Amino acid sequence: MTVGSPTYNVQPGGRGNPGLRFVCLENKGTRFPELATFPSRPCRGGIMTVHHFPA
Amino acid sequence: MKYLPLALAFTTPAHAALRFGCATVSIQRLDPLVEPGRIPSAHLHQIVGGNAFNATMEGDIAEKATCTTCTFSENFSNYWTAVMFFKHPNGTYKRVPIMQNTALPNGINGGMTIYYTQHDFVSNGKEKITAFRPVSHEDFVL
Repeated sequence: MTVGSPTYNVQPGGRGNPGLRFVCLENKGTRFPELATFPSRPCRGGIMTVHHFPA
Repeated sequence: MKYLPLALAFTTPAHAALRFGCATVSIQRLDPLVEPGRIPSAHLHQIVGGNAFNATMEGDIAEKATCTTCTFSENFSNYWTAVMFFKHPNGTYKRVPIMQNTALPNGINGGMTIYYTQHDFVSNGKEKITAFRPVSHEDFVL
């Protein structure tokens, strides 16, 4: 099974790629919210990607 | 009354879930699922799991591996994802380091956390459990 597509052109505020979500970490324990698109601001704790299967 | 705790266990709704950490095996331009046999693949990936990972993987790859970087040694499946780069204003690219999950015991080098749930963490849904089923091309839609 796969999630995401390298040719997907992310639109800010868009619905995102089915199954693929991003979490902007305040610290290493942050888990929510899951964003549909890549964070648009710096994330102090890093960025976590979540791949939901099946998408 | 010896059997009461067991009986209660069966009447309580159970939400089955499995979570484990997998350290990085390798970071390579290989993708046996999307671009089988192509060396290098178009994109770079972080690969975790069993040692049978290859540019081409056929059959039950978990049966062909002999060890894994995942913390459960009952299965030698592979998992791989894209890796991220930072584009410096001077035009150079630098690969972003991968952190281990702070919720898991220390000692996992980068990697990823794998979850198997029946539906999600609060519902079993109606789906049959298909954990550890090897990937197949029928699953894959570009």
